[in-house]
Amino acid sequence: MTSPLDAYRLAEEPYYQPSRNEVALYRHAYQHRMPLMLKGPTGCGKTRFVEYMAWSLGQPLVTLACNEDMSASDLVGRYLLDADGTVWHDGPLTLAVRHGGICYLDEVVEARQDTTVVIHPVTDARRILPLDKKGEVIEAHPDFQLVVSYNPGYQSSAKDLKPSTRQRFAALEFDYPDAAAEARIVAHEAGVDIALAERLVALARATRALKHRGLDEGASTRMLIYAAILIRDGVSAQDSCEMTVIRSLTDDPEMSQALLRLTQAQFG
Amino acid sequence: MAGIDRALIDAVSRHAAELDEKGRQRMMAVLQGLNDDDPVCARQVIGHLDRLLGRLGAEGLWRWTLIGLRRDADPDRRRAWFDLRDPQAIAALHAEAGAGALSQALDWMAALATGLSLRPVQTQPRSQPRLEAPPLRAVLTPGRLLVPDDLTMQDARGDMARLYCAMAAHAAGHLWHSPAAQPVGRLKPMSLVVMSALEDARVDRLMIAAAPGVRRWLLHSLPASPPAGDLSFAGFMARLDRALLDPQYRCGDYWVDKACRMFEMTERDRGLHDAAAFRAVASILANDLGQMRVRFDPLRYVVAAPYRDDHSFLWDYGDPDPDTGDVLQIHQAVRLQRQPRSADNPGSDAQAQPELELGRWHYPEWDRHLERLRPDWCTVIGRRAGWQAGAATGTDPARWQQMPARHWPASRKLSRRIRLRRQLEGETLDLNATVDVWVERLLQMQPEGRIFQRAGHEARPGALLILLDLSASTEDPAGDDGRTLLDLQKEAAWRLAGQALAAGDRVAIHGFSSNTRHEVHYWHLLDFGVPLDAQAMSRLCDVRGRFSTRMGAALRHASFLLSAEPADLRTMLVISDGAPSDVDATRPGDLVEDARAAMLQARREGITIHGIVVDPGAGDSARRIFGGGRYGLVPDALTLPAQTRQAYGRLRNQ
Repeated sequence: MTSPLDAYRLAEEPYYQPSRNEVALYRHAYQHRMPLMLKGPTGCGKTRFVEYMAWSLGQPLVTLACNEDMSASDLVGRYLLDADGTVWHDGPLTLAVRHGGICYLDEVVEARQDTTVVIHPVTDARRILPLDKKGEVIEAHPDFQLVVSYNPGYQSSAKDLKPSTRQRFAALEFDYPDAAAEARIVAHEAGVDIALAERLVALARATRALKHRGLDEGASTRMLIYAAILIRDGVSAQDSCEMTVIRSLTDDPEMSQALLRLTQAQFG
Repeated sequence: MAGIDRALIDAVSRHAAELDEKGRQRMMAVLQGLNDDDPVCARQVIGHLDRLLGRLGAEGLWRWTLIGLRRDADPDRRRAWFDLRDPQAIAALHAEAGAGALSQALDWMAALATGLSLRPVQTQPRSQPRLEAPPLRAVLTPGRLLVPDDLTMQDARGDMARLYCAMAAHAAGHLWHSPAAQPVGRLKPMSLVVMSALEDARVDRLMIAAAPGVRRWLLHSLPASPPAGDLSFAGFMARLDRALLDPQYRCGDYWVDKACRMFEMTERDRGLHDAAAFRAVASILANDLGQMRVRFDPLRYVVAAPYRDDHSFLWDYGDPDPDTGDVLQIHQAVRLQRQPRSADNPGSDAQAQPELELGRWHYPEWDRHLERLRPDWCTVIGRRAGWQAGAATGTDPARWQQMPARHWPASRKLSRRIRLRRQLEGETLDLNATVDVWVERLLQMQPEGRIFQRAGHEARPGALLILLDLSASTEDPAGDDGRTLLDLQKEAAWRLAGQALAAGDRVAIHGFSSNTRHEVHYWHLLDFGVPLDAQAMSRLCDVRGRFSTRMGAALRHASFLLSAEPADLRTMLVISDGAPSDVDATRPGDLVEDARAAMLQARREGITIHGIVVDPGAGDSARRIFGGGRYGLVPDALTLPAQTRQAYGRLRNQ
């Protein structure tokens, strides 16, 4: 029997290296369909973790990249016009609520606060989703769970979750993995040897020490994977790191000089 | 300058006018030092001053002179050097010309050391005070690296950047791996030096293991190996340094070979992380040198490798023991006073706080005759005003509460983040509303045509810096009630700050006065983010007016501070009682033009500046500085508070 969410099922096991006990904690939360908030710097593995958990729990994963143009209708659905008149189309949140799946709102603070309040009824004891325009109230499927993610480092007074929204979620804190684990991840994802991955991780850790001392953020695991892929393809380590790390992290000439030297320290 | 005839002094004065203060000091230090050593050399340098300064600048001249003095003590060869008859002097001149200024490297060195050590590191220059002094070495503290400014291209072997990289990496190695401030106890000076040398080698190897590219920096920055016949203590240490770092190096020296064997054995058996094990090896090696009767002069010894520090980080010398007779004077280690960080003043006494110097900044000044900026011409001294609860001051803030408050709405700006739907007009269709309207039409209803959406307005964060003229003339009476102009300025600033804060803006109140270009006092009376409370009021009330009005430097510093504010609207309101002036600016209009240049620069950086001048006769200078429509004249000082609020209210809504 087909389901509208079949297209959202992951076919293969995503590669994920646990850092601590986040897998077990997620399973406990899922048992109670507890809404979850994943907090952590960009590129540290939040989305990959959700994908891994969706696959391991056998659930479809409906992902939405939040942005400030997103409206409530983009989440819950809207009437559209066709030859026969107006037809209701479920939004991604409604699909997950109605048919049972994990709905993942990535970078949820990018959405406007008047949009994110739409999720309130499905994140408390009611577990309902009112569709006001349709005059329908959907009771959440027993398999439905809502997961959101965001990067606390980018918070400002304008881009933040309302307290009434934040307090509906349990939270898991993510950070970059320890050096050995991160090197394994980079080596696996990019298909490079562990020694190269370790050098790249050492460079990333050096840049993270410069957070708030010239850099807004240090290099993410994702950046290291990009660098490793280029190196694997034959680009020099210096050029790869300049392209995927240095130029992405900063425009400041002094800081670029420092990052260039840090790259030279690792790759000669 | 004694011993130099008048014509030469004139030549020096001509060049002095083209240099900033620091450059002039450098040049005079060179000439005076040379003159003290050999007046012939001083005259030779003066004769070539045009060429030397033109090629090197004052800092490069300093370094080139150091090379000439350190290279050879023979008077004739020194004279050949300073007369540019020695080909190596010409080569050094070209090399130093390409060295670059230390100031340009400090920032990236700090970031490099921070990244390599995973600890915050700041850098600052360490000045060599005398030409004839031994070369300086870096000084390292737990959070700071002092970089010598007397390193030459010869020290760097032609690549100053690489030397700086090596220095940062070596410092990072100590911060990461070395036990700091170990008690010297009864260790002898020679033992301390040998232990320090092995510790240097240990952390260098650890850094190379963590970051292999560091090896090239360190190897390049080692000095040339001393000749085989050099059996001095310095010779042994230089060979040891190279042997422990460069596996290709062979010197055939029994002591150095023994040191390498013991080092390698310790690394193999105990690992590089066991610092105590290497210290034990060093004790044995120092004992060997003693038995070999190698003489060690702690007053003359300098660590050979220019990228290494003076080892003061490693040792705690405590109080010298008068009984031992062993006064440890390896070289001058700088004991840094741990000064409080600027803008941090935790643990404030609820009853009083002393005045605090926050730091010194150098700013250029516009010379309208030369039509260019004189670099580093003015010194701004940042000060946090002190206060004392209950102290009598001339300013009575009780009257400040009597005027009615005026509330501004929060400043707003157009924003796509705010979506107004179901509008009669707008840039795009509101899809939901359009569908509703279509449905109603199909139902033969009469829908309103509200099918558009458009952007709304959101609060626009603003930052306001109120800059008060605190010159002596502001202490003049301003009215019949005994209040001075300064009192009225304070009241105006206080009221304005309260209303701006209530409207959601960030506010600071700063003041300035000047006593020549070397002392532009800049007072932090209220900083951004600090509440407008009793302490702030006390600080404001207690500050007095004195000295003069060098406005340009104050504007530049205020712009620097205001630029750091993360606000959409950055505004500076300057309240003054007349045209800029100072005791060392004798030509009329100079400081007015400089203030104008500073104002234009701030405006280019996105800062809105408005002037309020309490002197009807200063209209011309106010117009010149701030521009038409960007200043206000206040004929009656008693109306200053109200006019100040009005001015800012207009600025907020622009």
